[in-house]
Amino acid sequence: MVRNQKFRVFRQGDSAVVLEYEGEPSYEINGCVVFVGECVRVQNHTGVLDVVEGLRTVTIFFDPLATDVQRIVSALENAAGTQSSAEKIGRELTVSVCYGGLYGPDLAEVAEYLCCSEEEVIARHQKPVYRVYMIGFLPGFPYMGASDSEVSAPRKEYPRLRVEKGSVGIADNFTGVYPVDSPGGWHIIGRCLVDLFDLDAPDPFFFHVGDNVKFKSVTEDEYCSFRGKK
Amino acid sequence: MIHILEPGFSTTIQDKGRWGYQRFGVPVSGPMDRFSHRLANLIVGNHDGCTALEVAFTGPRIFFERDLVFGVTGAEFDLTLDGKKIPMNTAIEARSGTCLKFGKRRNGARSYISFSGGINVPSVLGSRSTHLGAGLGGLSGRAVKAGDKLTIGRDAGVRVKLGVRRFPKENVCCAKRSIRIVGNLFFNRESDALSAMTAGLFTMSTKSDRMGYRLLGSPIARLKYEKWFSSAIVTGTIQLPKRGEPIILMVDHQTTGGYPVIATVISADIPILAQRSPGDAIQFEIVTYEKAFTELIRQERALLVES
Repeated sequence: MVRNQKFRVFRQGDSAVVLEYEGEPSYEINGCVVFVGECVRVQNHTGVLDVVEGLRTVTIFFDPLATDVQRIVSALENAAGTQSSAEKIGRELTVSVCYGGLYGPDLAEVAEYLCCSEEEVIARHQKPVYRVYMIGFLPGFPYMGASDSEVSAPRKEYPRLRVEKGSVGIADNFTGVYPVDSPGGWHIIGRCLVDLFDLDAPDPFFFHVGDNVKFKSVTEDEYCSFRGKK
Repeated sequence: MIHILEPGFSTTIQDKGRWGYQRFGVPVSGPMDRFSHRLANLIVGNHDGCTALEVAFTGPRIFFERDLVFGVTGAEFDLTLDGKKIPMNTAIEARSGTCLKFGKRRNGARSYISFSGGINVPSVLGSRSTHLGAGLGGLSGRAVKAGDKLTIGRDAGVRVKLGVRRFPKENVCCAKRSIRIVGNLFFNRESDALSAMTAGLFTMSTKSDRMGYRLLGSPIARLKYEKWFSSAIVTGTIQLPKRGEPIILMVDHQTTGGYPVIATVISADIPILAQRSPGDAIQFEIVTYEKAFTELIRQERALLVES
């Protein structure tokens, strides 16, 4: 199945090569992206500066004076070609979210957009297992998607100047979490207590590309008692 | 120790950049003008990825509390050491108790001050580069300010006999010439968007910084293209947002983005771009990937010349 995932390889400037899968971001494409990313990273090719996963891409940054572009292209093509159906499964994570109210100021707006009640949005949002397709925008900010996602909303017309750290937001079919206080244009439906980017932690990044994430609703009292312990 | 008396507009500590963490959303940062940064390190006998100060638009005043060797490259400033004029692009031995002062800027935008032995600040995720937006690296992620005292390494560098190697004396990156770009799979020489890019004359907006340059000029029509999904951004990428005013992404850029990419500035011309200031004109020229590569080699040779 994954073996047949179509892709193309092209240059992006003189020091980067992109492998791009065809189609909308999905579990399957993310499986391929994670596999190829890990594969070329482990191979540790001379002259490679960075390997970065996108929603349906793997980009290799290289030093053109230290390696040849053709080697980078081959590395990507070979990695994509050796992909077996035994795709690497990411970690299982559960994130507790206090939905709505003060912590999710846009929950009502999203409910209106989806023509359902706020309770229904919360129920729908907890249903799927989300996959971290990409990390970007801010250090540790995950773009999570699910094939059976039933919650979506456009970006806000007027971005907020300040979105609180831990805010859980919706943009298109994606769910994201703000690692720090930041301006932001996603619809905020709740807040969690996870430290997404912590330089003092053994692993500074809570999310990795390829992780599987479930959201669990907690009451405001539970949220506050969690926060009290932190 | 060196003592910052006046910081300048935005003076930050930069090494070669925070590579390897873009997949976690951590920007690379590092010097805007990589060539001048490397040159600055090489002239004082450091390895070329050592920490140095990047000066932007206006320069600092620095008091030296020990004997040291330093050098200044990049944008042309009137420089004085204890009131005496000093040249750029050369290693200078300074006595304890002297003061380096940046005067008027004559050309370019960014200078690099290197110190033999480098500047000692903690490494964060493998790099000492400052990213102001993320508050990472350098001095707790901020620019230097008046009153800061920085420790200079004693023997961190690969100390070479000063004056043995011959380096370019002119500030090559301040050249006033067109910026060369390469197309991509979606936009090539024949595409209207790229033709519009090379035909137009753009002005660098005041909303330009280390993250990116916004360009003012006649808007470029967005043609029909396939849907774009967010992917890794490369420094020098020229994005075309809905309003049609291109943005060139520079070294502090976010790691991912979803706007159409119409072209990418060649690596050899990023330092040239780094030396432009808001209000400056920017014109583009399309070149081949082969040309991009030979230009990079030509630039590299300038750093390899031995006398």
